[in-house]
Amino acid sequence: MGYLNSNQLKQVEDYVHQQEITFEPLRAELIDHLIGDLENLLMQEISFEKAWQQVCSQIPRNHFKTIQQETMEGINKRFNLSRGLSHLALVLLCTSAVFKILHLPGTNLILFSAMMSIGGSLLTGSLSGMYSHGEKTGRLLLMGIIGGILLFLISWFFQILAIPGTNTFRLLSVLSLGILFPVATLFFGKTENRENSLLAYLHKKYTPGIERFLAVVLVFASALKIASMVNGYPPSVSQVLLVLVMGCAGLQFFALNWHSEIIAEWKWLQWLLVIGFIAFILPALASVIPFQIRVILAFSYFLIAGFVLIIQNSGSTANKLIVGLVALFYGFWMMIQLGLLSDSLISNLLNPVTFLILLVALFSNWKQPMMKVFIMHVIAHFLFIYPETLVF
Amino acid sequence: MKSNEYIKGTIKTIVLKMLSERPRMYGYEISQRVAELSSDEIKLTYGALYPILYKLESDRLLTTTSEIVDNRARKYYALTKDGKKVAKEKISELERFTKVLKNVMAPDKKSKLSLEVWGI
Repeated sequence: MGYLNSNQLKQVEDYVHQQEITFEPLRAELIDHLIGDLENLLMQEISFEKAWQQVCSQIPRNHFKTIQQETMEGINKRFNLSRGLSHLALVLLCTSAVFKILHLPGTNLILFSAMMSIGGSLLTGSLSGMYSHGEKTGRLLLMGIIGGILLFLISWFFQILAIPGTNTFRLLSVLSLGILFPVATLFFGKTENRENSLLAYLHKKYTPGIERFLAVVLVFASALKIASMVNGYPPSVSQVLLVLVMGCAGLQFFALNWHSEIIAEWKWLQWLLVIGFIAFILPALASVIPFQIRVILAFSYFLIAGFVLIIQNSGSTANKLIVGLVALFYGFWMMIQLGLLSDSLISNLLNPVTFLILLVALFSNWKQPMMKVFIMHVIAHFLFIYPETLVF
Repeated sequence: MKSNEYIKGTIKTIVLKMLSERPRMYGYEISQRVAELSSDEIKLTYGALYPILYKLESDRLLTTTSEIVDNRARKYYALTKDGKKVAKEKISELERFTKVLKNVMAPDKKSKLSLEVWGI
C-alpha cells in the first residue's frame, strides 16, 4: 500500500525501538504490523495523527516487551543445548582465570573445556538452525564462517599453551574469515531477502546472546585487568579474555552490518566494510605481518568502523563526538607506536579519565547494537594496551 | 468477543487453519483475515499472534521467507509438510470439540421429555 511517508515510518520505527525490542526479526514484524494497522485506518480517511493515537492506545504498557519475552521463551526451548554450552563456556572461562590467579592446577584443562564449549555452542546452534530451517539457503557460507572461528579458537588456545601449530591454524582461520566475511557482506548488500539466508537469520537470532556473552566476559576481564594492576596478579589472564572480547566484538560489528539497509543502497560502503574487515583480521597474523603494519591496520580498522557508524546514523551528535575522539585516540596511539611521537605521551592517552569516558559512552549506547559493540571493542583494546606500570 | 478466555486455547489452530487455506501469509494478514471471517469478533492481538507464530516456526511446523515490500521487511509464513499434517489434525480436533460443546450447551430435550412423563 505504502501510505506512510518517511517521517511517519520513522515515527513507527522509533516507537518500536523505544519498546526495547532487541530481537530483530520480531521488531521488523511488529513494525510491519503496526504500519499495516495504520494504513488500514488511513484508508478510512482518518488522519495519521488520529490513527497513530488509536493504534497506540490499543497497545498496553510493556506489551511488546512481554511479547518478546514469550516469543524468546518459545524459541529458546529448541536452542537449549547451544545456550547451555555458551553459559558453560562463560563459567569455565571465569573459573580458569581464577585458577590461574590462585596458581591452582588444571587451569589449561578448564580453558580447553571453555574453548570446546564455545565451539560446541557455535556448532550446535548452527546445526540446529540448519535442521530447523531447511528452506533457508547459504549452509556452506555459514559452516565456512563457523569453521573459520573454530580455527581461530584452536590457534588461540595453541598460542596460550605455546603448542606448535599456532601459525598454521591462525593462517587458515584468517584466510577463511578474510574471504568469507567480505563475500557475505557483498552478498547481503545485493540481496533483498537476507532473512532467507541461514547465516543472516541465525546471526539475528543469536545477537542478544552474543551481546550478553561479550558483556559478561568484558566485565570480568576488566575487573581482572584492574586487579592485576593494583594487586600484581599475572596480567596474562585478563589479556587472554580481552583478546576474546576484541575478536568477538570485531566480528559482531561487521556481522551487524549485514542487516543494514544502507549497505544495500551504497555499494561503496560495502567495499569500505570489506577493507575494514581485512584491516581488522590481518593483525591476527602477528608472526607474518610486521608490528608497524599491524599498528597501521588496527588504526585503519578503528577509523573505518567509526566512519561506518557515522554513515549508519546510529547515533546523536554526542556519538559522533565519541567516534571522533576514538579516531583521534588511535591516531596518537599509532604515531606513538610507530615512534613518530614520544613514548612518554602514552600516559596522556591511557588514563582513568579516558576509561571513564568510554564507560559512559558504552552505557549511553546500550540500546544501539553497533555503537555498543564498537565501544566494547575499544574498551577491550584500551585495557589490553594499558601498561602495567600505569596504575589507576 | 467480550471474553478472550475461549479464544486462548484455539489460537494455534486458528493460525494453522488460516495458513492451510493460503500458500503463505504474513502476520498482519493473518490477523486481518481472522477479524474478517469472525466479523471482528476475534481479534488476534500482537501478543496473541507472534509468540505462537515463532513457536510454530521453532517446532518446524512453519517455514518463513522474507521480502522487502514498500521499503520494509515482510516475513511470510507457510505450512511445512509436518505443519500441514498437524493443521489437519488440529482443525478436525477443534471441529469435533465444537460439535461436542454444541451438544453440551444445547437444551436437554430428553430430560425435559422425561419430566413431562412424570407430569412436571
